Amino acid sequence: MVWRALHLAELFSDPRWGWVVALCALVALFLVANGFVRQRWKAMGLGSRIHARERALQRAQRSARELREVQAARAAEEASAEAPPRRSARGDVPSPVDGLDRHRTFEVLGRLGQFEQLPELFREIVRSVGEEFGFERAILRVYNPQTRLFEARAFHGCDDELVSRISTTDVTLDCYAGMARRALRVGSSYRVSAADDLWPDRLRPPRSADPRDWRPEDFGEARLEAQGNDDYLVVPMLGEEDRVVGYFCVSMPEDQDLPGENTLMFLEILAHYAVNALNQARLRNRLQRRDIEYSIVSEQLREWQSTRDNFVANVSHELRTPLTSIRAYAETLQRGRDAMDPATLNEFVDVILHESERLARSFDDLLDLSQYQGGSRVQVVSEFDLAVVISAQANAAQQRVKELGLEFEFDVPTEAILIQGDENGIRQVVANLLDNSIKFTPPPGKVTLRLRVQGGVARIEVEDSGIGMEEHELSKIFERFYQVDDSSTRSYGGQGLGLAICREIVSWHHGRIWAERRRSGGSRFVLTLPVRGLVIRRSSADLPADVSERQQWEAFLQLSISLISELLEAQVASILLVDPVHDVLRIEAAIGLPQDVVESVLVDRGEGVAGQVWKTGQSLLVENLDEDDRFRGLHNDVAYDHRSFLSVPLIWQGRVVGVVNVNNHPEGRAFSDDDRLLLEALAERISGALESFERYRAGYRRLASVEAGVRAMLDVGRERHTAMRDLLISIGLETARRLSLEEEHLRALAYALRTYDLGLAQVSEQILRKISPLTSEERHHIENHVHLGAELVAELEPSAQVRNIILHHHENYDGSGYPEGLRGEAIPVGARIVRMVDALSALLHDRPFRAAMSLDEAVALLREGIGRRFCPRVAPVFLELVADRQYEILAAHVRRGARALDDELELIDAHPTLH
Amino acid sequence: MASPRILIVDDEQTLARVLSFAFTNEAYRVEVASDGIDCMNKISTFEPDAVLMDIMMPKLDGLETIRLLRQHRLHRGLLIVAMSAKALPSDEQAALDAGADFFVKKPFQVAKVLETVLQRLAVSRGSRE
Repeated sequence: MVWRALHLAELFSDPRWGWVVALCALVALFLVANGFVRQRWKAMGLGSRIHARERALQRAQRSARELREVQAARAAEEASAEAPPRRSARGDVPSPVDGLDRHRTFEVLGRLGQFEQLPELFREIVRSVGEEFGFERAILRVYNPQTRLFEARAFHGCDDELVSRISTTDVTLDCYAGMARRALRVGSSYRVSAADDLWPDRLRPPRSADPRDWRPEDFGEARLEAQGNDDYLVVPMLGEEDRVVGYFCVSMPEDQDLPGENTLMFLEILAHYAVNALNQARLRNRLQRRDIEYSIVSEQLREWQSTRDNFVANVSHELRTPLTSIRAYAETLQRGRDAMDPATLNEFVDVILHESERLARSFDDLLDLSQYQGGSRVQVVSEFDLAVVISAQANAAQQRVKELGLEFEFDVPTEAILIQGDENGIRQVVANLLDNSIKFTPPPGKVTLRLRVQGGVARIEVEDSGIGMEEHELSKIFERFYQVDDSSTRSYGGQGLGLAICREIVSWHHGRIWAERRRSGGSRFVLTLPVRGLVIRRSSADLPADVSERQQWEAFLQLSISLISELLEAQVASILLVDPVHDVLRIEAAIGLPQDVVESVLVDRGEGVAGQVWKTGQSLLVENLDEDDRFRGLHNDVAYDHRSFLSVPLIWQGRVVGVVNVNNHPEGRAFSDDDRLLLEALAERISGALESFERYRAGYRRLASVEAGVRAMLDVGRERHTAMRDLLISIGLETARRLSLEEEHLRALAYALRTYDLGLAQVSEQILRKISPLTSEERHHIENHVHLGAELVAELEPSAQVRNIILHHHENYDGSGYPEGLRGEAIPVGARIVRMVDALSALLHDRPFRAAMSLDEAVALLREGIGRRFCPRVAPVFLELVADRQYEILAAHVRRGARALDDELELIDAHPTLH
Repeated sequence: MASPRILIVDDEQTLARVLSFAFTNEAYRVEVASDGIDCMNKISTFEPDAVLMDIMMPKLDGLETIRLLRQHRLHRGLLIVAMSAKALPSDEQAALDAGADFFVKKPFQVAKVLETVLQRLAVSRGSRE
């Protein structure tokens, strides 16, 4: 404009006019420049307050100006180079310079508004870009913070092959930065020329040093999206604080003019549109997930609520009943005292007293029950003789029963039946069952109390010839206070909370309780308790003669069998060793089996489950004996009422030297493949220990070291069976399976996952509980736990695998961990998996210095650590499995107690603010 | 006027005993049944004017018994007082829906039950005459 003014001035030959015009032009120039600067100032200073679209518009205007200059410069260049005429790719499709008029702009935006789903919206955006502006190709990429890549989401004008190539091309932040840095910036967009040497600092090293060998793939994005010699325009999608959340990229054939001002502006508006849609979708997604989580938590809450409501209603019924009698008797006494004969008067007073006692007992029961359920009751666990307890109960009841005119019979064995448990609790249960039977048996009936041991299970029966129960009531009576009681039939009126408590106590002992109808009339209450008695074969022919040696051997067997039953939660466990002289398997030690079985069982090769394992050297996992065709009709001597079997060989120097068996009760959980791995791992160590023992006998080794190793493992088995821990271990193992780890590694991992934090037990509680920052010495102590743990297991290790997993489970992928600062793939893969399990487990639990995190927070944190703390190969698989099983985890998380639930609810409450 | 007859149905024998005592003192003829089946057995021979019916009972519960009674033409005019220690409003509604004339929440005042039964019987008698 200024130049034109000057040019005009030249038209006037009169120099005076010329000066005047020139002066005017200068003033005009000043004004324009001034205005421009002011506008710039405004844009910079108040930019944040200007509406996004306005900003986009200004940017676009600026960009258009800048572009035109470039265009002009280029046109001049081309003109001088006398380039040959180029093809025109499109027919009647408008050229980008045409841009859009306002009407069509609104039309397109209006259409976009109809798409709620992101993929559709993105497709529509690139389609609009292509068809409305006439760009040949358009690609939209969105940055995924999880993969740290710009992922292609929508394509226009690309054939299938190109789509698949583009989809599989990784565009990292660095790639993008390279593109943005190098290219010519126009507004917020970048115009990238195919001719530019875009990738001097490309991420992948070229195939060869000779540039002639370079292929398009080596250049990644640039050549691919430009496709040949076209220039292209990259329009970033800018989110908060101008962070790039994605971009779209349109190709510009060289014969085309550069996009017009309107076009550029519109592209940027579309970019904003996409960003908004993306934000909305993310928000929607989060809300939806929260909805699901919320519905699970609230379902659980509802369940609790209804249990509690029923409980309260039923308890209130149980308390009202004696109160009703007390009140009615007292009232009647008060009104008719004078007319009453002394006998009736006495009777009434007696009833009042009796019913008051009943009421008081109900309160006691209620407290007991709540303590058992809340886990706050201090159960004194001791080993006691069940026969003694039952006999005492029988003697106490005998007198009372006789007074009532009933016959009483009891049958209790004289030998000791040792069980581990809460003696008072068991006494209470038996007393309760006896009371019930006595109460509901009218004279001249009979009450029978029986105790016997059968297959590792103590069975107590209380039988009566009383009023009996209907079939459908049998199972309900224990649940009176837990289920919606739709029938108002009460057959066992006035038994208080007794049976509900009995059930709690019995299940705490891993036992069962049920009621049966006797064919001859009356009821039979049966209570079974596992006799966890540990039995070691006495008649072992090859037992060492030396007494202390014999004790050592027994101690070893004892520890091993306890370890197996603890870690696998097995009700019955046995170690069988091959007797080479007679070529049979004999039980050396067992838990849950009677002594006579242990003494007498001989298993031939190929006979039963154990015999087959011996024969084949392969483990056998039977989830349900009844449903497994392989064992149809097979009756194992030691099976009894167990349905899930796991049997693994003890192999030493390639030979089967024994078999380890575990069985679970039909009501208990069936064994899984995870258990198989763990038991195989244990078997390896027991074989190792057997060898150690042989060496010890030969004088090469101290048994104490063997024992210490086993004992330490035993500690791990205890108290650690929480739903969460088991779940995380199972996810850890599944991660390993998906990463195609070999059996041997799986086994090592199965074992390491149970033992990795053994060493922590040796670190002082004081340090672990410390809230304030740790001193370097304290930190050293904690870091040392991996060494301690590794040493503890080392004694029994057949190979260094488990030891290495434990030793390195605090190494970080980037080399910043401890103890050795290993980096990347140098860290054993098992250790990298344990690292994930350990980290997630820690985040989900309360720590002295912070509360437990929600699953979302924990996962986000783990994800953040990928590449730094966590292995980029292991972590995504692990996290995917976590996502798959998030509801199980959430449920376990919630189950851990009210606290975790509160956290979840707090989060849910916080949602509305997300809107 | 012949003394009114009342059938007390409750599995809780202690309570049945005291109710029986109280009604006998008021010159009722009283019979006790220990559950719904027992009640159905006794009702045709005893022909009561009123039934005091517990709800939670073995074999045949109070609600079912009331329904059965109401199905029978003979017992449509029978005064049935339901009583229960399950005393939520929904429990009361269930009893009334089954056909009870009214509902007494346990524990109750014996005098009040006596009075109510007396009044109701007088009313129905009056209307019958």
